[in-house]
Amino acid sequence: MTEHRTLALDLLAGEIAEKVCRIDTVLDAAERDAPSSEHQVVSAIRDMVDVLKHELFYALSAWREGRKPSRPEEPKTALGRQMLFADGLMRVVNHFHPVHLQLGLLSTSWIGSETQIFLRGLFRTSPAAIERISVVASREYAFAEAGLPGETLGRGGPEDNSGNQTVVVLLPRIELRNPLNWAMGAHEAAHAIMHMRGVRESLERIWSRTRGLQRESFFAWTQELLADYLACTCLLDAYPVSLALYAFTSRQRIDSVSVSHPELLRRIRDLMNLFLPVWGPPKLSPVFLEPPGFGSASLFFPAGESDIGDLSVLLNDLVDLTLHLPQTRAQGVNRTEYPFQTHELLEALKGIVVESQRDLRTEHPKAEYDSATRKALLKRLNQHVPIGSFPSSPEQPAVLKCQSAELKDHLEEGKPLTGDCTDLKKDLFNSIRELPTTMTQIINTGWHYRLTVSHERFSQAFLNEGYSLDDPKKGFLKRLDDYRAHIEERDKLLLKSIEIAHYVDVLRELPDGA
Amino acid sequence: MVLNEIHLAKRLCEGLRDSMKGLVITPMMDPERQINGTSVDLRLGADFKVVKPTKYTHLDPRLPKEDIKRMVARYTEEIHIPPDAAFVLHPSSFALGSTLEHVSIPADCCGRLEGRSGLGRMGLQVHSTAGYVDAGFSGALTLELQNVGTLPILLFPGVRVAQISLHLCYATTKGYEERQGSYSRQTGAGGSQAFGDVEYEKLRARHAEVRKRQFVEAFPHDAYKEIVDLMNSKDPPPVEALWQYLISKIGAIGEAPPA
Repeated sequence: MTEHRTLALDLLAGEIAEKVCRIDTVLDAAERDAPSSEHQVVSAIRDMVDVLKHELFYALSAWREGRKPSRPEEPKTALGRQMLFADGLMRVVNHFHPVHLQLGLLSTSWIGSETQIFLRGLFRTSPAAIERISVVASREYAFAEAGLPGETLGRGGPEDNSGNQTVVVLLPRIELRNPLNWAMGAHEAAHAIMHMRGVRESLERIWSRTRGLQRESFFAWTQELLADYLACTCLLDAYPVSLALYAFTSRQRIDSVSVSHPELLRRIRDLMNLFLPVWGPPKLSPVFLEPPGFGSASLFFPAGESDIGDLSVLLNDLVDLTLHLPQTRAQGVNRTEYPFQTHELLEALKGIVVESQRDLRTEHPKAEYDSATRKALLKRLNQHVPIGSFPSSPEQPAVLKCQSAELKDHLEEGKPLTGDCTDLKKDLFNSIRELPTTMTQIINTGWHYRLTVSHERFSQAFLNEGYSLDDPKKGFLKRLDDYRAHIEERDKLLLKSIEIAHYVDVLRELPDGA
Repeated sequence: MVLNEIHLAKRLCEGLRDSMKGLVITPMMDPERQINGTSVDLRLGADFKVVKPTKYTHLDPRLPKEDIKRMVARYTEEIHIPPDAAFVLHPSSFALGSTLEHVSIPADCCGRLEGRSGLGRMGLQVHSTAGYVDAGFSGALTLELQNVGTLPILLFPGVRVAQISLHLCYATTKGYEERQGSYSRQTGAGGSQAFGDVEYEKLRARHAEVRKRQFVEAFPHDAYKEIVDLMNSKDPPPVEALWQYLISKIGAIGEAPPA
C-alpha cells in the first residue's frame, strides 16, 4: 500500500516536471517562429519559468526525503510524513497555472494534423460529421469542447455549406504536441458524439421528473459521466490514468462541484464503480470495487500482467491521495451522492449508452490490445521504433519459410532459385506485411512507456541521489534539460506512430490499380 | 554484394524478431509493390524543412554551438503537411524532407539511397550528395529534395519517392550511435549537424582564443582608468556619458586586425 502511494506521488512529481519541461519547449518554438516583437514576452515568461524551476527543485529535494521509508516504530505516520513533503509539489502545481496562462500571449501555436488524425481514429466509425474536428489552443490549463449548438454560439455551432458541424476541441497549449494527454481530448470529442446521437434529448426526458438546479446539474453531470465512459471504452487504461493525473494538476478543485461538472475525484471513482461494471465492456473485476487498500485486481488486464504492478490499486491510491493533499484538505471533501441508484434509471441510461456506441467500434476493444500485442509494441518503442504499424501475421512462420531447403540453399550458398517460386515469395512477403495499429494501441503503449521507462528515467535523475541546483554537469537544471530531451523524443515517436498508422490505413484501403 | 528480394525479405523477418539485429523498414504495408529486385521503395513523410529569408548573411561554424543552433532555428521553417495535402517543390528550390519509414540497418550492411526513375524524370532529386546510409543507422532517412526541372512538383506524403538498396559489408565493431550518431533516432527531416564535427570544434576554440586576445589587446585600458578617475572626482559627469565614451572605445575592437 505504502509502496503504491509512493509510486503515485512519484508519478505526480514526474507529471509536474514534464509540464515544466513542456513550457520550455513551447517557449523555444515561440522564440523560433514568433515575430521578434514577441521576444520580450518570451523573455518575461522565461523569468517566471525560472522561478517555477527553482520551486520544483526544492519540492523534489523535499520529496526525495519524504519518500524514504519511515522508522519502523512509527508506521502510522508514514502518510503524514509523505504528505508533508509532497506539499511542495502542490505549490508548484498552483504556480504552474498562472505561467500557463501567460503562454496565451504568444501568437504562435503549432497544431499538427496528428491531433485530428488521433481523434478521428478513435471515433472512426462514427457519423461522417465527426470527420470535421478542429483543435484550438486554450489559455487555461483545461480541456474543453466548443462548437456544439446552443452552447457557444447560441442557436447553432459552426457549420459548413453541407451542414456538417465542426467539433472544436480545446487543448492546453503545452499539451498540443503531447499525444498521451489527448486522452482527455477524447472525452471532449465524446460530448460531440453524444450530441450527434441525440443523447441530450434522451437525457432531458430522463431528468424531466426532477426540478430546478438539481435537474440542471444532474443533466450536465450525466453527460460528463457518459463522456467519461465513452472515452474509457475507446481508450481503455489510458483514459483513467490520464484523468487521474489531470485531477492532480487541474486548476479545478478536485472536490468542487459545479452545476456543469461533478467532482473530478468522483468522476474517476464513479467511472469505475457505477458505469463500467454495469455496462461493460470493458469489464472490471469486482475486487476493484473494494475500498482502496483491499483490492489487488488490475483494471483491464489480468492481475500481475501490468508492467507497473497493479494499475487499479495505483489508480485508487491516486484518487485516495487527493483527499490528503493541501488543496483539498482545507474544506474537506463533499461527497455528493448521485441519483443513479434505481434500476429504472440505470436501464434508461444503459439504453442511451448503447445508442451512443452504435457507430463506435463493434468489436471488444480489449481484443485489439491484448497482452502479447502490448509487450511487442512496448519492445518496439523501447528500441525507438515507431509503432504505427504491426506485422499482420506471427513472425515464426516467416522464419520457418526461410528454413525451407530451396530457400536455404539460395540464402546460404547463393544457389539460384529453380522453377516457379512465386508462392514461396508470396508467403515470405505476406509474413512481413504490416497492418496499421489503432490509436488505442498507440496511446496505451505510450502510457505504458511513460509509466515504466520514463518514470524510471525520472526517478534515476531526480529521486535517487542528491544534486545541486545549477552544477553545469550534473545539477538540477542539466538533469531537467536531459529529461526534457527524453520527453521530446518520446513525443516525436508517438506523433510519428500516429502519422504512420494513418497513412498505412489510408493506403492499404486503396484498391489495386488505384 | 547487393541483397536481392529474398535476402531483403529474410532480413526483414529477422528485424521483426529483434529490431536491434535485423533489417527494419517500417511500415511495410505493401511488400509485393515495395520490394523490388534489389531495393526497397520508401515513401515520403509529412515533415519538411525549408530555408526562409533572414537578415543573416552567412553561417559561421566557428561561432559557439548554441548561437549556431539559434541561428539555424531562425532561418529554418518547419512545415508539416496534413493528409491529402501536398508540398510544392518549385523549380530550382531545395527542401529537406524525410521518409515515412523508420529504417534500421544491420551492422553488416550499408545502404544506398536513390531516387525513383518516374519522379527523376520529372526533375526530382532525393539527395544531392549524402545518399549513403551507414551500417547500424536507425531512424527516418532525411531526403535532400531538389527540383531540377522547369515545372513545380507536387509531393504528397505517403507516395513512394525513393528506394534503398542494401550492400553486404564486414560487420562494424561499434554501432552507429557510438561512432558518430549525429542523425540517429530522428523521426523527421533532420537539419545539418556538421557544426558539431571535431574539426569545427578546433576551429571554434582557436577562433574564441583569437577573439579573446583581440579584446584584451584592444580594450581601452587608458579610457577605463580615465573614467574611473572621473567617477571618483568631486563633480562626476552623468553615467550615460561615461558609458557611451567607453562603448565608443570598445566599438573599435571588431575592426582590429587579427593578432
